[in-house]
Amino acid sequence: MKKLFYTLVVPVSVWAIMELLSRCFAGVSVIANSADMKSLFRTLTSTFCFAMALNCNVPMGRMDLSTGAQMYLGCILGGNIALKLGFGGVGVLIGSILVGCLAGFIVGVVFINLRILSMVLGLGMTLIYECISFASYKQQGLMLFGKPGVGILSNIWFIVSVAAMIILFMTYMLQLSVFGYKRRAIRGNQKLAVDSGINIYINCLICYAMAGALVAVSGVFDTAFKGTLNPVLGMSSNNNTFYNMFPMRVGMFLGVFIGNPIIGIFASSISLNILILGMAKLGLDQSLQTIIIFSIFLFFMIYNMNQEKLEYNKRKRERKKIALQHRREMKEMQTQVNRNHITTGS
Amino acid sequence: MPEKTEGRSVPALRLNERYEIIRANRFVNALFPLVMFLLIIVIFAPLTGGQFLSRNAIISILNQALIVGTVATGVAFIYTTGNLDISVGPIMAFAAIIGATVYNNTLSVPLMVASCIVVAVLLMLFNCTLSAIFNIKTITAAIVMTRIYGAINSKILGASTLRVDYTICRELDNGGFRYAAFFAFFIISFLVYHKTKIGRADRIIGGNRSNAVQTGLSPNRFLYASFLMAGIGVGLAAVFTITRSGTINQDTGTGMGTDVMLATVLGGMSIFGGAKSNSYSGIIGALTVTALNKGLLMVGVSTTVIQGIRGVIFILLVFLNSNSGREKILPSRQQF
Repeated sequence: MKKLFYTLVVPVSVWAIMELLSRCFAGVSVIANSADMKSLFRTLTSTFCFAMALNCNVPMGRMDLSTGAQMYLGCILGGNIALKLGFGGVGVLIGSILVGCLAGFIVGVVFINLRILSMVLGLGMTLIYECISFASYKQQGLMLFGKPGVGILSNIWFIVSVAAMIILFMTYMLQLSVFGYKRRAIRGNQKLAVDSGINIYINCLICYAMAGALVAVSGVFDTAFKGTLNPVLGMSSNNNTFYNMFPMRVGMFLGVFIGNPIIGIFASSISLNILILGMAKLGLDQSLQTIIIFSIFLFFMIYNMNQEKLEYNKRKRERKKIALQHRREMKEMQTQVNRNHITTGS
Repeated sequence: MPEKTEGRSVPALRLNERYEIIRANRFVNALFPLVMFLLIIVIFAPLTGGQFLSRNAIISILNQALIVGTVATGVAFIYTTGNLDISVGPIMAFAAIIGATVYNNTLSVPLMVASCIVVAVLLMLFNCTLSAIFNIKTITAAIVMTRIYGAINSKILGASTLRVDYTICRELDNGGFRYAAFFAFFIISFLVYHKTKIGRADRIIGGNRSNAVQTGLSPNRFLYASFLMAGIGVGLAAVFTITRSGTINQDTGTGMGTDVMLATVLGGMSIFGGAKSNSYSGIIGALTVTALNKGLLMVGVSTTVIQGIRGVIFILLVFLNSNSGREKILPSRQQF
């Protein structure tokens, strides 16, 4: 019951606030019709998959900044190959997952062999992957609009099914499997994990490959929603990574209370998408939405990084309060004693 | 095979041990970036039929390198402390917007320059505060602030372009303002970095933060000094951006964070800071990367492929400059 409360508290609170604001200032509900619901689920799956992909590596101290570029590469190469072979929507999804997985795996191999800090390596790999995805398919990217058999990618039940499968698969992988157990051990102390016989390299490669596959799923649903995925240059793909760090980080925070980071990330992804939908209903433009979202992220980060300090100050205040109360009592006692002395003396 | 030395047999050095000795040599470190730069000239001069060494090409390389070089010279202070900041692009763009607006309203060049520098310094110091006071890792703070500053720039500019009277920009350029300002900043940076306590403390903090604290240094104090110097560099680069074309749009400052990192590693400095850091790698690296871009463009390589080549060179140089070696554990850094 407590876990259910923690799962629902943030999304429900965000919905309630946005509903209130939306009704007051725009005169409409945040989720007014089935189209809003459909839009919410599409963006939710996309955000959730990307945030989950980040969650594969970030808690391990590996902030991979090339995940955005992996998404572009996976979707553009895998999606176009599947379309050429006439595989339809499911084929596009599987093709993108395979190429995304390979892209992530390659980053993992380079990381293990060169031992460059993941974040810095990610910048280099982004430059390379963006170059490949831009140069392929005559710079057209991936176009799903009007293509036969891709309608399934917009089907709400298909989207929900994929999201459910990902939640189950990731819960098994990260929470219940031997891989997840070893991953947590490495997260705790890499040196101790190595000394106890855990193969950190294989674990790292699986994390990178899983992240690549997940961003590809995210990219496919995003493309299905927008119709096309245009290739980018100049590190623009990093925007996706930066954007999804918010639900990932809030999800990790909620996951501590829920006991499952995957559900935590799902809850934070719902919250973010409701927030965005609400802001859109309020008529706020993209720039203003970004400023609000990242300002909230900044305040959350400040709170999160200073939690210990805040708790220390709280304990200090409590100790001070007890000490002052004690001093007051002592003073009162002393006054009483003095009074008694005076009474007895007189 | 063991080698005989005065009757004793000593084990022969392995290839990687020989490589490590060469890499650790300070003369190799100092000469490597210059050799890279010369190599680019030697390769592209004949390939372009001498066009690469023409006056126009050289001026174009210098002009392009100056902006990245100025930012890189300032940001070297931050890198030296072992911190990374990729928010310099949107900060530069924001400072340029404010500077251009101030000029358009007052027609005063000194006010434009001052406002650019003040805005950039304030924003950099705000980033530093997030890191030093609120304990957010510099790179994480930079990522968040990049998005916020970028969105603010988009909100101000929209799809339009902010223009400054091109005549005044030409006058400033022809009068050598850009070069004079850059050299003044470079000399000040060099002196602060190599002749004062700030540079020395930054190198100690970057080398080993715990040791620095144990020896009585205050990392936060020097982090503020580093961000201040970086802010001045970013502010000057904003002025150069205005005077270069007289226009500021949504693309201004895009990719600057990566360009600065690339210039720094091409200049022979590690972006992870430490004792081997210096203040001049940024400008050497900026010249090298601009010359490389220009050379590749002149021989007909597309901008897409150039980006890929830059990626490969970036990874290789970071690898050569890093000290990770073949340790048992993988490099990691908790950001949250």
